[in-house]
Amino acid sequence: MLFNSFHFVFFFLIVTSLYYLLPNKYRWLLLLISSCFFYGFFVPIYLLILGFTIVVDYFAGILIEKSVGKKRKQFLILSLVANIGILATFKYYNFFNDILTSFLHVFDIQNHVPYLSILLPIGLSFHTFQAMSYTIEVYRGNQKAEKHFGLYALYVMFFPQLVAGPIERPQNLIHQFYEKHPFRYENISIGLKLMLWGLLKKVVIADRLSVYVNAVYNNAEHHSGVTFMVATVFFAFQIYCDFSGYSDIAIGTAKVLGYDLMKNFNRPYLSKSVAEFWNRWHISLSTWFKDYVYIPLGGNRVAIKRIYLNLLIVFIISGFWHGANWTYIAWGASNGVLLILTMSLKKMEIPFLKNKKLSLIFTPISIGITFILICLTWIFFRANSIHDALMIYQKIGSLEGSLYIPKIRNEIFSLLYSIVAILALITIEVKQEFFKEKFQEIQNRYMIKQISYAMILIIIVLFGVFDGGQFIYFQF
Amino acid sequence: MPIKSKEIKTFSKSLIIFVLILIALDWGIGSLLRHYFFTQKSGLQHRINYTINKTNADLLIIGSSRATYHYNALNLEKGMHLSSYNCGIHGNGIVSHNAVLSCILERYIPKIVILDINKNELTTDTDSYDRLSYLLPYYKQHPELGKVLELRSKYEKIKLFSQTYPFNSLLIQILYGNMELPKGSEDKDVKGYLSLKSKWNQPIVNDTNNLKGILDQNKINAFKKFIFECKKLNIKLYIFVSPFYAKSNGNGKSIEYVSGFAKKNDIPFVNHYQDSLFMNNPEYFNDIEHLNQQGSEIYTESIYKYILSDLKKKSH
Repeated sequence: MLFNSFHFVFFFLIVTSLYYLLPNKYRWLLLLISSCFFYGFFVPIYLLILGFTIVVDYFAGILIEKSVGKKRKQFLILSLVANIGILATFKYYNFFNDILTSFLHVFDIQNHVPYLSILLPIGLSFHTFQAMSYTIEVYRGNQKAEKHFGLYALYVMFFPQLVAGPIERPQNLIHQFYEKHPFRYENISIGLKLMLWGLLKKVVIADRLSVYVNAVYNNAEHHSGVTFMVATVFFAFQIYCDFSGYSDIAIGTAKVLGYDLMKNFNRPYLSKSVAEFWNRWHISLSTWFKDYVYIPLGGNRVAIKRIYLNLLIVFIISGFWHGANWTYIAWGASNGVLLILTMSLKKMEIPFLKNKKLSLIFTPISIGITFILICLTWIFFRANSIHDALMIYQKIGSLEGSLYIPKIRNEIFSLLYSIVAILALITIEVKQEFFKEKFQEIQNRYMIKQISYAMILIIIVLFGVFDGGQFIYFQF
Repeated sequence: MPIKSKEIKTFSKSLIIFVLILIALDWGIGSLLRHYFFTQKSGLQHRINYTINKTNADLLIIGSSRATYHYNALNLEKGMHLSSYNCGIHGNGIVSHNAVLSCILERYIPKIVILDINKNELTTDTDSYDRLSYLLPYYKQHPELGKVLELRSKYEKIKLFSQTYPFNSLLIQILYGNMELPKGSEDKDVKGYLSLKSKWNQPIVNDTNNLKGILDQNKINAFKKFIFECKKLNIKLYIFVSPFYAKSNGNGKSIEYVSGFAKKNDIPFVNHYQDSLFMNNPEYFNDIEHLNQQGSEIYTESIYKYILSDLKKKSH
């Protein structure tokens, strides 16, 4: 079920009403049934895959806790193999088969290994990673094995964050299922506000920008460098608004029910360096990789060259996590390289960069440079193939040609809405980041708040794209 | 767990205030947009407004953008001595054409209707129902459009409780439509007809798209309804497929269906899809799908000559 659909509106209203009407002890059951319905709404059969990993990890958790020595590790490995196995089968099988075909082709041998023609279960990478974090934390002793099967299943399946995160840790979520969540006006108000804001970002900004971005990126050979510059900036905002919009709705939905999910985005395009960007973008995934891959590889405790190598490894895996395509791997690698370069520069300790008086000038410059660098990496992410991506880099480098402007008047208007929306978003985020205290008194006035929420809804109705477009991150 | 009554009271109070503000804003902004929507002087919405609410021409041309660019209504008027208006609507197909005709027929009955059919007019299309959104502002005046709008989504009527929703994505268009456009602007129509100025200079392409696709039952029903409505009211209906600049090995399912149905119902049907006069002259085209001004003048002349001779034949 899509958050930006009428189905979800009805679903959410029914679930929330029942949730607060039911006694506390039955609420987990309501949430679990609702989550099954929510996920089954896409492709019901995929509930079986989810069920399989839930059963495996539930028992693995208990067995890890009960065991000592080598056995503990064996149960952890069993759980990880099961999870990664599912991911490998459904997400990466055809990719590796493609590599095999190309490899055999060199020797003029035909590949007879069949391809799988199955649809990737929605949000597979998200709930698999969430499930993996559970067994790892139990193994590390940071989390007690959950004995209540229903609550464990709910930890993996909790519908607000089931298909696109935030990827929660068991320490943050499971205990909340045991707590009482009384009806609180504050929770409802904060939650609904977040949901509204997320929906606005998705349907007013992301879906509108996607029209131009798709028109350009899906016909890469026909467009100029200038056009790609604009389309790439648009894509940067499209993916941000699409994914952070989803996260806002997810966090808001959970908040209405009384649950706190982790923050997933923190105004990433106002970062002053690539390293800072990765502390602000898709935080739940970045910290997942930090905790479960980067630190076990040695973290910052190893020699500097090894740190760089570890960073590169983490970012390549992160790219591969996003999709079974060389473009995602290249995207991950390019971010890794940028991060290494940033760290190397930082090590040089350039004195004038530390001058606080000059920070007024350096802050916007650093933000601008970081944004441009991140945009350049997005090209790999959005391009349909490595060939397209390289061609786009070449075109942007030469900056020749004229800007593509749609011929149809309505599409030009649509583009104008997009530009206005981006400018509005930047203004709001700059205000939140640098002038948080300004206008606070006016903003906190009850009627002003009510009017602004109503106005957000009117803006959604007036400028939103309502064709129920998918969230980009669902495919991961 | 019992819900604390204080929390419920605070929530209910806020909800009521929020809903009241929302209704007031929605009504106010919606009414303002509605007013300016119907005062537009140019552009696509102006032409649709005129088509649905004002035109009383004897001859109407109904179709997509191809109709808009291919049938010079002024030339038809001069050639046939009948008042004419071009009701072509960009990006839309037979479901939309049928809805527009039903709105017009509520006001008056034209003498002649030209229906321009696209090569894929009756086959399934991923976004053809989304494009019916242009009818949303007319739902209040023409509630019968409700059934057509429900093809977009089953929740369309619920969305239409909102006064602003019909004007979704139309704000800039409304502002633009209310501006006085300079003479010669490409958005200035002549009796609904718009002309294209460029000349196509690319080699002819092979068109295989028309041979694909499955017939869409909703579109077939709309097509049949269009024809039966004209027959019932004794409107002389002419169906044309205007020229394309593309080669094809066949007419495709839509044209075949229309041709067969027209023959069965004794409706004049002329297919210019693979008309050599146009296919050998790329300079008559603006792009693959649209004739330019020069092409449209030649085409329009052939159309009114055909209709005049047909009328003459029938009168004898």
